[in-house]
Amino acid sequence: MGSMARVPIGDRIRSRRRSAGLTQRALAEAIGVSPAYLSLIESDKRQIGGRLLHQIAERLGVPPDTFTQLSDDRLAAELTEVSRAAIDDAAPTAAELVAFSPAWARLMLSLYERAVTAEAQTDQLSEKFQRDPQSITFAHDILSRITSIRATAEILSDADGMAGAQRDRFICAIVAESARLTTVTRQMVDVLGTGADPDAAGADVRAVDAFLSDRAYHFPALEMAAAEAPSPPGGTGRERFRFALGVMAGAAGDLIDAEVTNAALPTKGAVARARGALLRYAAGAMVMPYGPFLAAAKAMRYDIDGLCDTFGVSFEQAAHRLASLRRPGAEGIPFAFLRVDPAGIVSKRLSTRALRLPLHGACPLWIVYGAFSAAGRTLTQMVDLEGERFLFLARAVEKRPHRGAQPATRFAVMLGAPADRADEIVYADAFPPAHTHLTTAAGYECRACTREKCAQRAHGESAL
Amino acid sequence: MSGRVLIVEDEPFIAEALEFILSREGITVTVARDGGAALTMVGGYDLIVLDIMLPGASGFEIAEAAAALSPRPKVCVLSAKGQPADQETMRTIGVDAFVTKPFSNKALMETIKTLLAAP
Repeated sequence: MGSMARVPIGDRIRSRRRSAGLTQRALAEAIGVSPAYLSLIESDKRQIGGRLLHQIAERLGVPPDTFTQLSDDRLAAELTEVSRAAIDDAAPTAAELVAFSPAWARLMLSLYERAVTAEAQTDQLSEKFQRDPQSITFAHDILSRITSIRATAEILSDADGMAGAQRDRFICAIVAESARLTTVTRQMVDVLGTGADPDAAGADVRAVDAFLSDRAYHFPALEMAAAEAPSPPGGTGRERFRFALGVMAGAAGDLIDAEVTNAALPTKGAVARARGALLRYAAGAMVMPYGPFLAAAKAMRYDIDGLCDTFGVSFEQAAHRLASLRRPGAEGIPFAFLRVDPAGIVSKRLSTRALRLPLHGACPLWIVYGAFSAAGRTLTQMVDLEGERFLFLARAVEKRPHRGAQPATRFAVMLGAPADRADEIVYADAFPPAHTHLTTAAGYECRACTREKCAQRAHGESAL
Repeated sequence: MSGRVLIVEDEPFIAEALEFILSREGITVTVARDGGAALTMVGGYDLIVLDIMLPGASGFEIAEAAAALSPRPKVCVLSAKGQPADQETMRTIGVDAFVTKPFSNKALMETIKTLLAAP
């Protein structure tokens, strides 16, 4: 997360330079640095980015993102996180592994996903057997059949002098109980076959997250299709969005299928989830067209309530759309988007290069968790995450149930932006740059956190 | 061997097998197939052989009702649960013995004979 897992790129630069037939000196002169400095870069003793990296790419005739693929950073961050989840001791970052062999790194992540999915399914089944009344009934039924068969068979094995009618009665009992045992066992197997959630560990969620993250959550073809669609009619935000979903399902269905097919997602569940995410993206683009929405956002300094009023959408829809303003050359602020439920489980996340969001629960000090106790209010927070500062803003949102007697669905939605863009955001006015005491020292997630003396620490060595 | 035993078991074939193996040893057997009915019948027996999961009332409730009687009948529970914690719970409510299902007839009869012979 953050910058800690960035993949070393020196090897890639050296390899490209050699392929281009350039000496270290020639490339160094072309980009205006000393050969010694270029040597440090190629041996990963200096991290570079921005203008210098662009110059190197330009001189070597390759696209600027050749050396720093977002997918590699994401892969390294996720592998580092799972290694820390798997072992209690501080694990090394996976950046070197990704740089050395991305294929092995992807395989490791895939195997981890399979392992945690299997573990979660086992836990589910175990829980099901211990607590579920249906499972208890099956167990009792089967045990009763075995008990009566065994007791009756033992009686028959020692049946000297038993009357014929009595013997026949016990034989009938064994036949009847055996038939019943077969039926119950089949019923139980049927239930077991459908009893476990195939995505019990959330592997599909993470696969789709990775796909969206690797595409920087920007889909030009869907933006174009949305721009050509008719404006949704008036009505509530929910009604307008539902209308847009219907229109885009027809107008962008083929485009969405093509995107999902190219993504080569691992399971049917992940494919269905990705299709849903892209359809909602397209509907969001239709209700909140890119150009007008970006212009309004900039004019209002990203005031989400103002955007909700202007475009007739919900807080979550507007926040989600803000996180997708990543058209090259016409980018909005790079917002990361996080949605958690009241149990703290991450149900949606869109990371950025600067702010990588955790796979599971985030640091409990993040304002997103405080939002549940302040319904209807947008809470703000300036945080310091391992030396990098971000502005967070969060609000609890509620979705009406489809059936009256059911409770509403509750989530907290959060946007995070780098602090160096904070002056463009109205919510940052509460945190003047000079007032550093207003900054919350926090981490990304507990297990990987290195911050000392944290009273909120749940994992790792306690400072208390 | 003599004695008066109440069998509380809702499974008809298990109840029939139990009645047979106790009766052939000379024991006087009464069978109750419902927990609620058994609650009104616990008096007047030397031993109650109980299932736990019963319609009407659980085996635990019947064992507690038996423990309140004087003289107190012995109680033997036929249980699917063999864990020590469950055994401890049963003993605290006055259960004298428990036999885990599925049981062998011979082992069950030895337990019953021991309980009937005890003062």
